[in-house]
Formats: sequence, C-alpha cells, structure tokens
Amino acid sequence: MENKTKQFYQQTNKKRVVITGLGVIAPNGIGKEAFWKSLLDGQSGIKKLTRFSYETENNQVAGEIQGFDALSYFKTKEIRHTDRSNRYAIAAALMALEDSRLDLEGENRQEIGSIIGNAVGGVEFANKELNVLRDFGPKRGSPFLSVAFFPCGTGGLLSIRLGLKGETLTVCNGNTSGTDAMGMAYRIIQEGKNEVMFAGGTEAPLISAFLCSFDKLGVLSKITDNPQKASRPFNQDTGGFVLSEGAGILVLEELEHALRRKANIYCEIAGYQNNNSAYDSFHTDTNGTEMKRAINDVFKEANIEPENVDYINTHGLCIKEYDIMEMNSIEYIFKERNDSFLISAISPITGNTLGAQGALQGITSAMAIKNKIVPPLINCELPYSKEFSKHLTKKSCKKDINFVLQTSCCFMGKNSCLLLNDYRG
Amino acid sequence: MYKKRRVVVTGLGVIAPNGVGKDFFWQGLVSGKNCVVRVTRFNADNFYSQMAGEIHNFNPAVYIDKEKIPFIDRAFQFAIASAKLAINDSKLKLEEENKEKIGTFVGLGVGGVNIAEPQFNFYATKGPESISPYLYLSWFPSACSGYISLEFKLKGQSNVISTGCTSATDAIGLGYCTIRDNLQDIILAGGTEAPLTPETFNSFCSLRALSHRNDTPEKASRPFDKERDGFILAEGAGIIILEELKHALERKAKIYGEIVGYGASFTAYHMTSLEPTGEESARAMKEALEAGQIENEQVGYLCAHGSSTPINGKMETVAIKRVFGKYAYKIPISSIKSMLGHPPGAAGAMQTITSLLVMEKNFIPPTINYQNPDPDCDLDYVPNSARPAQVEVTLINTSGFAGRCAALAIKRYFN
Repeated sequence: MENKTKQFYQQTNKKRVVITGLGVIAPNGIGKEAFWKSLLDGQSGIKKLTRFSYETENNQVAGEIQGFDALSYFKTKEIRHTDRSNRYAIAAALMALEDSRLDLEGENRQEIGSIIGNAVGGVEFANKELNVLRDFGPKRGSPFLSVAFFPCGTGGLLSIRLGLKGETLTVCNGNTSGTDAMGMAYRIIQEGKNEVMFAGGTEAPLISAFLCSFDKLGVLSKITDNPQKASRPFNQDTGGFVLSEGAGILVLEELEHALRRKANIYCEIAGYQNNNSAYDSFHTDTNGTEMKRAINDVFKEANIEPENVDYINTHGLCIKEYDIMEMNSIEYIFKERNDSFLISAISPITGNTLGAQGALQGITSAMAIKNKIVPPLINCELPYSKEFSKHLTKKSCKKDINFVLQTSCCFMGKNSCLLLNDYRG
Repeated sequence: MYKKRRVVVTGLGVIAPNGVGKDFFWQGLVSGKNCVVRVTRFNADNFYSQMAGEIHNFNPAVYIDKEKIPFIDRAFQFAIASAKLAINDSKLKLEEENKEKIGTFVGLGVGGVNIAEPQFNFYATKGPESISPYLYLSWFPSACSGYISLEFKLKGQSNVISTGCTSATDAIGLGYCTIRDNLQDIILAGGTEAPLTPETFNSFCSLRALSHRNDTPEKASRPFDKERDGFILAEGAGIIILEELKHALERKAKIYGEIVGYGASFTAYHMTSLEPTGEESARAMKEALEAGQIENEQVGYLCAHGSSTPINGKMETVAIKRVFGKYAYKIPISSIKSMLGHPPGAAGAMQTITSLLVMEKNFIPPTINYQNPDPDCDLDYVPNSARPAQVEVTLINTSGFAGRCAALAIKRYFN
C-alpha cells in the first residue's frame, strides 16, 4: 500500500488486515462464484414471493434464498432448533473457511473470533413460537427459542461449531451492521487482539408481519409485475426497497499471518469510519453532512485523496431521500477531483438484506478488486443527475482497481464507510 | 510510539428495580433491599417462573416527548432516560462540545419486544389492519443507540452491541478502547433491557434458567447460596459517561474512576451451559487486569456476575480462584443480582456503576439471601449486609449466554 506507508504501521504498532476468504448465501446466488456471476450478468435475485401467501397486492416480491441445501451443513435436529438467519450465517462462514484454506487445527483458537452483524434477530422462529405460546400456553415453549431469537445466537453457534475462543461479538446497527462488523473486526486485528476474524452479517426477515409493516411505512417497492425491475436505487422513480434474506461472511486476517501460510489475498482493508447524523429516526439529511464526514474521515485514516478511489460500492437503499443523500455526499467529495471512478450498487440484484447487506457489499468489493471488474448498476434508467450518470456502468466493466470505497447507511442516522484496497505488498 | 489515552468515568445514569437515578440505586444496594416481586407486567400464572425484578416508578414522560413515547420501546426509553441522567450527573455542557467526537455504545440482549410482541400477536389474530408502520423502527436493536444519538444530537459513532449477558460490559469495554485509541473523546456507554414480556420471559423459563421459588420471591435470587435454583429476570438500564482524561480535567469534571482494562473471551463450549474449567472466564479477567497493569493484591472488590443459577455460582468461584489463587479468599465479592435480579443487556453497566460508587462511598454492597454455605462456593461473598471498605481497584466480571466472558478493571483516579 503506497499511501499509508509501512512506516505508519511501524510507528503506530498497528497490524495490517487482509481478506482471505469469502462465503455468501444470497438471493442471487449461493457461493461466491454464483453470486459474482449474477452481479456481472446483471441478473437479479428478486422474484415473486413464494414462502407464504400474502394478501396485500402491493408487495408480492422478495429476495428469497432458493436452492440452499441446509442438510449439507446441519443435522435435521439442528435445523429444527435454529432460525434461518443462524443457518445462513453458519453455512456462509463454513464456505468462507473453506475458501480461505485456513487449517483451524493448527491455529491458536483463542486468537480467532467472529463478529456478526444482524438487524432483527431470529424473527421467523420467534413469531412461530409466539403462536405456540398464544395457542398452547407457556409449557409448550421451545428451549431453543433464546438461541434462535436473540441476535447473539448466531455468533455463539458459529464460534461453538468452529471452536473459536477469540472475540465473539454481535453488532446490531440495522443496515450498516455488515459493514460495521467488518470494520470492527478490522480494528480488533489491527490492534493485535485477534489474528483472524470471521466477520459479516446475516438476516432472515421475511415474515408477513414485517412486510406488512414496511408496506404501511411506504418503504417497499410497488413494482410487483416485473420483479427484476423492482429494486431500482438512484432512479428518479425509486419507490422503495425489496426485502431480502441472506448472509455474507468474510475471513479477515492479520497480514503476516496470511503471508506465512501463503493464503490467497483478495484485498486489504485500509480504513473504517462510522458516525450518526442525529437527524431523525426515519428520515435522513439529504445533504449528507455526516456521510461526507465519514467518507473524509476514512480517507484521512488511510491517508489517501478522493483522486485515489476507483470504484464506489454504494448502499443504494432504494428510499429516495437516502439515495439522494448518498449521491450528494459522493458528488460533493469527488466533484472536480476525480472523473474516472465508477459507481454501482448491488441492491437491484440482492434486494435489501438489512443486517447482511454491508457484508454482501464487502464480498462484492473484494471480488471486484481481485478480478479487476466493476459490476454494473442495473435498473438505473432514469438517474437523478447527469453528474452521477457519468460514473454509472450499465455493463460490467474491466478496471484496474486499487481503492474501493464502500458506503452504508440506515434509519436512525447511521452511516458507515469502509475503504478497501488491492494488496500490492 | 503511539500513545494510548486514558479514559475516566464522569457521569452515572441508572434505572433499576431499586430506583431511578444513582442515589436511589446506591441506597437500595447498601441497605440490602430486595426488589424481586411476583410479575405484574403480564399474567405469569402459568409460567415456570413467576417472579421478576420490575421497575415500578419510571415515568418516560419526564425524559421523552409525550407524542414519541408510544413508538419507542420500553428498553429504549430506559436507555434514553439513563443517558439523560448520566449527562446531567456529568455536568457536561453538550452545546459547547464537539458532538462529532461524542459517541454512543449501548448493549442490548433482545430487542424492542414490548412493542413487537403485541404487534405480532395482533397481526396473527386480527390481521394486517392492526399492524403499525413503525414496527421495525420500534423493534430493531439499532434504535437503542440511535435514539440516544438523536436525542442529544451526538454525531459520533453509534453502535449497539448484542452479546447476551455481557452486552453492557462489552459496550463499555469497546467504548473505552475507542476513546483510548483516539477515535472519540466522549462515549455514552452502557446497556439496557426490558425483557418482561410473555414470550421473552418464557424463552428463559423453557431453558429452566430461572428460579422456581415462586412462593417466596424475596428469597428467590440467592447467588452463591447452596439453595440457589436459577436467576430472576429483571429490567433496567445503566449508562455511564466515558471521557478522555485530559478533556475531563480541562472542564474540571468529577471523576468517579478510571477504566484501565477490558478483557473478553469465549468458551466455545455450549450455548446455554458453562464450561467446567473456568479457563476462558479466567482469561477475560486476567486480560483486564494485565491491560491495567494491576497486581492481584490491588483488587479490593470484585463485582461478580453472580446470576444465582446453580452452575454460575460454582463456575464463577472456580474462575476467580484461577485468576487470584489464594488471594481469592481475601477479596470481597458480591452480586447485586441478589437484590435486583438479572437484566441481561444492562447487567454489566449496573455492575460498573456499583463498582464506581463503591470507590466513592467506601462501602461494599452485600449479596443478600446468603444463608446456606455451599462447599463449591467458599469465598467471601459479603453476605447479607454492606461492609465499609476503602477500595482502590475493582474488577467486574460477566459471563453468559453462548459462552461469552467479559471483564473490566476500574481504578480510583490518581494523576
């Protein structure tokens, strides 16, 4: 990394952090290859809702996980005793572990931990149990409810399964959770607390009560006849998001540790910042005052300039004011400084997986750097501004990427930025 | 070399079953007042356990705009109110501060179940018309720190940490690291929980983790006593003001104590049972002490997890002995859960506040309901009545759900 020099690390005693494994279960693909291919092909994972019937006309689309063979990761009993969100994360972590070729047997597991981002906990399991409680009374309650329901259940199950005794944390920051989990894991390795972290996010929010409530709040896409077009961030006609489920887990590793075992390095993490707009619980400040600050702070942390950024992996929440906020922040910082960067968002293809979204973005950032390709932003037929549209790519595009800026934002004023870069020694 | 900054505590805010605010909280603790009662928040007649540590005199309208209250879950209300109390106590003039440098780290175990549970029930029994558009905003744990940041216009980091029973310890520990590493100057840190709803309550009943001593609630929470049979679920919140030392000195703030170490580990043993050797729990405590360069003999008080489950009393004792060896017998150890019950996401914050008040008041609160010595628990648990003591260093130990262990070392402030 030429900008944040080795000297910096020697002076501060901080460790460098790289990404060495990816695991993903998303509506548009299970496993990093399928996930990446659908992103490059612009093939959306949004389809007609099939999991349950839903009487409201408005939102019959969702990003469901289909074709996930839970039995290849879990015993039947374990499937009965866990929530979908637990299983997605554990399966994604096992994929990431395999991808990293890390041999846990030879590792000091007190130095390996996990940070899981999650927004709502095991709501499907909890909702089912609530019906049992109402209809049959407390004695029929499942002893597995707490594990399946509480947000920290996933991290616990994962660490037990892999025997990890390092930091085991769960961060619940809504849509920024996945990015925050990666950022916190980066800090933990940076300060030398752990050597390896499984970091990412998981979510399984597809229950009808949530869809109904989100619909009433007016944040769901109204396009139901053409699911492929339903999720359309940064459009003049952006009308809401599509609720999705999934998980993404990344293996973050201390650089020397990765080099010693000759690991395949996807990229390096160069910085992480998060802050709060303190503007409103639901609305956002469309000027993006705090998002701009988060971006500037992450540049300062990595000691780079806006000119160095090649690709911006945006959140694209598909709620108009949030999209405008993200776009305004980017325009303000990059205008007249950098003309060549590209912008995309994965949300048209993945939908909105809440607490997992930042992790899916992270996997996309890593794949983009490794493969030197920027995935397209689909469904953006009517971009808000000309300035913005100059940087869009409608087809996947070859690009020698050094720095990727990844932005996430959420209700309750939360903004998070992650900066990743190509590892060049 | 890169210099680590010192972090002190300059404000305390607490809402607990024994009272609102640190004064009532402390009076309750030193007088050994039991707060465990029969559940009144819902009809618990058919439940395995029917007792809880409830908060009865909390009026959210004192702290939050009336029209917002119905959309903010009880757990988040506690957190906002505790934050307000802590800020008042710290005498911080927020309008003069750089709010970009003030963050919020809140621990929460469950989520906004007080609004969500009835909502899910309405939805199932009455159909979609009954559901509120604000279900997500009042349910998702993220709102917990979000509402505090919003209320005080704090633009720094805003994080919700959910690690079960260690949530608040982790939130304070991570907040301490964040100031130490020069990422923020002030952090409102702590935890909150309001789990007294039928489903959440029953999730602990089904685990058989709660006490079954339903006829005598006042005797039900008895950590380290031979007859202990489970914990008492409680509600409440604790928020403290973590502040960079120089910043605190410049504004001549009252300093309650200095956070000098945070240690955490994971047993990877079982989701709902404790690991028998106490190795990882001991590691968390050791890490906290080592980070603060504290010798065993300096520790004058240990604020224990002491949940009152049969296994906790035994294992925590084993772990404490692993850390301190023979000196373990000389440390006064007490469990405030004997009086308050156990509010999972807030427990660590209440223990931290207790420890800071111990150093201020030179008194150690007791472990009440301690009547029958248990050969497995043979340390000094400060039985039944408070004890005067000059304490310079305290250690907070928490452990819980899934096998997470976290500890904090706190020192009286000297320059």
